[in-house]
Amino acid sequence: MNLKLLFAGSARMMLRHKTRTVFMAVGIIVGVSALVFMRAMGVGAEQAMMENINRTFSTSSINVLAGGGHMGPRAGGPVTTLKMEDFQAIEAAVPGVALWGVMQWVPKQDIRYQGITRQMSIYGYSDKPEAVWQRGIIQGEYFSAEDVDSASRVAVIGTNAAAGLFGTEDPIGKQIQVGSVPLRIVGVLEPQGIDTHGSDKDDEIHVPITTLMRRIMNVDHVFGGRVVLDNPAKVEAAAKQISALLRERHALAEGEPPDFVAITPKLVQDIVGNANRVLGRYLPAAAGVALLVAAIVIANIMLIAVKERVPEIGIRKAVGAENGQINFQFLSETVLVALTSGLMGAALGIIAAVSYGALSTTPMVVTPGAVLLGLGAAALVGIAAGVLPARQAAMLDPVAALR
Amino acid sequence: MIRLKGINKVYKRPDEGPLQVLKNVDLTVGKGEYVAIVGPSGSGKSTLMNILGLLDRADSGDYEIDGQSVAGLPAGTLAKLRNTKIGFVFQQFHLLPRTNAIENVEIPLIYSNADNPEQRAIDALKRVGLGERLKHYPEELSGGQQQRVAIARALVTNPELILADEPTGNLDKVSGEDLMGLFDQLNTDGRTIIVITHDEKLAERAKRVVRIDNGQLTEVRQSSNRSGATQMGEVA
Repeated sequence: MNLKLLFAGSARMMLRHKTRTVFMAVGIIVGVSALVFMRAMGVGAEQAMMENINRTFSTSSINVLAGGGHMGPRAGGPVTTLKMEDFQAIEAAVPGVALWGVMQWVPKQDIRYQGITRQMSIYGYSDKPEAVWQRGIIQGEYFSAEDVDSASRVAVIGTNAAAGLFGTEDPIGKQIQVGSVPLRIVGVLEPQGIDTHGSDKDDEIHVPITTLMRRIMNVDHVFGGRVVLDNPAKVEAAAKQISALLRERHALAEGEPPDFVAITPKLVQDIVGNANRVLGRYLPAAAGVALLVAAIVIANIMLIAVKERVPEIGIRKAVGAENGQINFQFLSETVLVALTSGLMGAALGIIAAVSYGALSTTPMVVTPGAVLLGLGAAALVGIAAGVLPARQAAMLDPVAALR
Repeated sequence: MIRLKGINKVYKRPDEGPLQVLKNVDLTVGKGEYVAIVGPSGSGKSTLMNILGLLDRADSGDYEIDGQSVAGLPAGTLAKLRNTKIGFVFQQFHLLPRTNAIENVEIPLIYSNADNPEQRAIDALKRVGLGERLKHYPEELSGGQQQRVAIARALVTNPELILADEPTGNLDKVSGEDLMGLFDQLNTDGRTIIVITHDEKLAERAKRVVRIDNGQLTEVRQSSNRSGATQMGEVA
């Protein structure tokens, strides 16, 4: 069998029946371009979110929060069972803990400076906050371990908060007031922008956690803490040990829901990944519907074409085409149309995704996988649509076909 | 070359009874013969042609081509035999529309492994006198020229046997004469030709005539009285 001649013939057939070819191609072009575009959108959203998570949540850390996975306010008030001592126990019992820190916070407090009042959140951290929470200081310095031990009246401030209170003046050494507690500014926080919950990370102040708990909030529990391990590979095992230790320390009975949650990077990625899979799957499924319609249209057009080409098929058989060769020939015609349209659709999808990414703020990431998926889908449509017509052509009786 | 022995073919008809189109047909055609099969419509000519051309199978009887019995051969082998040993010429030419002469003649080569198909097609077209019409579409050619393209297509795999079904049926007188000349030439070159025809002129050109009537074959003329014709003794 001479494949070069056969494909040349198929290509001629496509070009000579332009209207038919265009009808066959349109569905695939739309479907594949939509598939590539939507995958680019899904992958872009996922990557953007993952970057955001990785920036604030290193791969070797575990966040332990009070409450059984409930974020924000809950019925019955805040969970008060998580203590700083729990983390001291974790450090003692769990191998591989390199660092840990606890935090507490209070939203929207009136902060006063020389007649100016500004509402902002106050976060309290234990020592080495820069290393534990991955946020540095751009001016001055963070509070020290001694400050934490002695519940010093010091604070570091976000850039927006500083600008709101002090204008263009140097914030270092300024004295601000929270309720009756005076705080001296010792540093300015590295800007971080808006976090995933929508709050401005540059419009807050950080104080030693002891200062916040004892002098401002008057509580003895923490909101949560972070345990940083010396090796990312230890994270999952450590999370299990932490859960077991805390259940024991909090005297939780078997089967009782936990009053804390240990969040590992994997857990966060799974949750985010799940959310993105909706975007990554349902939208491409819509493209799949377009491809299904394309397959039905192509199958119909090819069935009509086979009827029109009965004498041609008879001739081909008379001059020596075997049934399998006729079958292959008609199948290759549909696959050729489908793949060509698939390539056009993929190109269109890439152009659309790249232009949309450039013209809007939506992150668009075209992956080779998405393009291959599109081409694979096109080929599959070609084969699925071609099987029946090709079989009909192959089964034709040459005597009847030539009559 | 070809040996039919006791060939029977029956068509089942839904309303009437079965129709026997071929009755115990015996026919032997030797290499290099030029045979015309004549007979009225409905006599079984076309059925005989289809069986000879391996497009249809007999219900019973033996068919040998080059000493090989084809009765039990699978469809794929029959297709291969059609490709290599038989060239078809039809009354309606059966060229692919909007496909130029070379591309039409190349069709049998799609299904073979011959190298240089384009050159072969060009050579075949030159042989039938269409060297100047290589890129012409059937729509741009006269009936006679279209039939020549069809003959080039039949010749391109260099088969020993040319099977022609009413080849002059759609041609004017002059084109018909041309075609007969071409057939004479092919036969002189050693090719075996079997032609089914109503055309008495064409039958006259053949070296041997058999008549089919009601499915039964009878020999009309064993050899032509024209000079240079094959003698009876040479026919196997």
